[in-house]
Amino acid sequence: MTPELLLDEAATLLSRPSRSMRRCWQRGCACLTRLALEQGLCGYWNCVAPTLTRCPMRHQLLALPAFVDASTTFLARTAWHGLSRAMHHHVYELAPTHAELRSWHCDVVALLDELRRQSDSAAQEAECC
Amino acid sequence: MFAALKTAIAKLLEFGKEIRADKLAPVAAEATTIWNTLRQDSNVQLGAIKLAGTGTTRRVDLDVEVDGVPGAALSVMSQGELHSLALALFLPRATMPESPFRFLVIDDPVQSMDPAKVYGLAQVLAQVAKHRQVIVFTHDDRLPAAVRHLQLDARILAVSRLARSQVTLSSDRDGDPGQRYLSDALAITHDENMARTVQATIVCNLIRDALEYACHERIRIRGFRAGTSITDTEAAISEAEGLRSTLALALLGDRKRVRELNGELSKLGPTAARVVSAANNGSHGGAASDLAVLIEDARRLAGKLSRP
Repeated sequence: MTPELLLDEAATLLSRPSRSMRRCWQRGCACLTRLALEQGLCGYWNCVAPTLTRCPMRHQLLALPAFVDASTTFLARTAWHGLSRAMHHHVYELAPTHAELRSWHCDVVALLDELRRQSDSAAQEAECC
Repeated sequence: MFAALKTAIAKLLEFGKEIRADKLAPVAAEATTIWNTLRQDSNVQLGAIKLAGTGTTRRVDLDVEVDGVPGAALSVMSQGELHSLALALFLPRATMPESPFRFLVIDDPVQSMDPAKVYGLAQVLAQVAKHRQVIVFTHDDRLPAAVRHLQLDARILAVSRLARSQVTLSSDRDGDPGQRYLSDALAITHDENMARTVQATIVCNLIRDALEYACHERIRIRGFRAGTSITDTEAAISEAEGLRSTLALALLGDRKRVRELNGELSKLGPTAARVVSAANNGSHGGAASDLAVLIEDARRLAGKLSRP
């Protein structure tokens, strides 16, 4: 599945979860959104530094400031760590709210747009050379 | 005569209200911005903040909406949201220029906060910490975790309390932001899947961040000892752009004396100049094992730099 399809599925869970998902749509949505982020980042690395696709997410997030600006890095880190926390069930914590999930979803959409824009311009530069 | 006096009093009260509203306006605007960062799309929206009441019965009126419906939101807000709201109102007031205090002490702001809001809180506190010393007490590991994940320049200390309230403070190596950058760098060198050139770029960037942090600490401590005003010290730090200028400011007291830097660095150890040049060029030719050596050298240099 492409990151776009994953984000669409996450959006569907957010707006009208099916009956079978009514108890776990929050964590399902967080999981799909995080997967979209990881795949989108993977696509970006494929264009600029392919070996990073095989590295753990912690290292990928540490590597980001060497390639993109501080605000894009911040967006990726807050979304990934927030979603990771949200998708694990802790009995002492409430499930993420609809508003929180929507906000992460918007962040990941913006992040993937930005990464796509940057990898397109990197590809163009490579062609010019 | 009596009527004229009454009109005058009414007018005066009106002006008083206007003056109060004008004084509050910047605080209210900042409170709304902070609330928006903290709430992370909670259903509660904060509208106008007004000071009301007269004499000894004064109050703050908050226009709050839940899902766009105005109402008594305070009664439906969660404990965590109430904390966030209190913080949003407190921070701009506590950091007003008129305040004689240049520091803030906040006790457990993370309490009952939703997981997503902790990142917003860390971001807000980091913003305030640019101009004030911010001390936060918490027993919740989520705030230190957010500090690590977002690579914020906050020192983490562990406080433990023995019998008869004997308090001890301790800090492991990763409590210090500069050392944290270097631990992250070491983790990168252990990643066998990453290309050497990419590893070197990331490690050098992290070493640069660590050295810059250590320099900033040195500059601040020295300025504080010399009685330099905090504003001047911070202005000098932001004027020094790039690692070499920052080092010149830290070691020689002048960001422009970069030419004399190598002499000064050699006093800090035989490898200091090599570490600085690697960090500055963002690249390091040599084997992966050399990167680990470079990080160890950087650790020693950062340690020496942060102690003026």
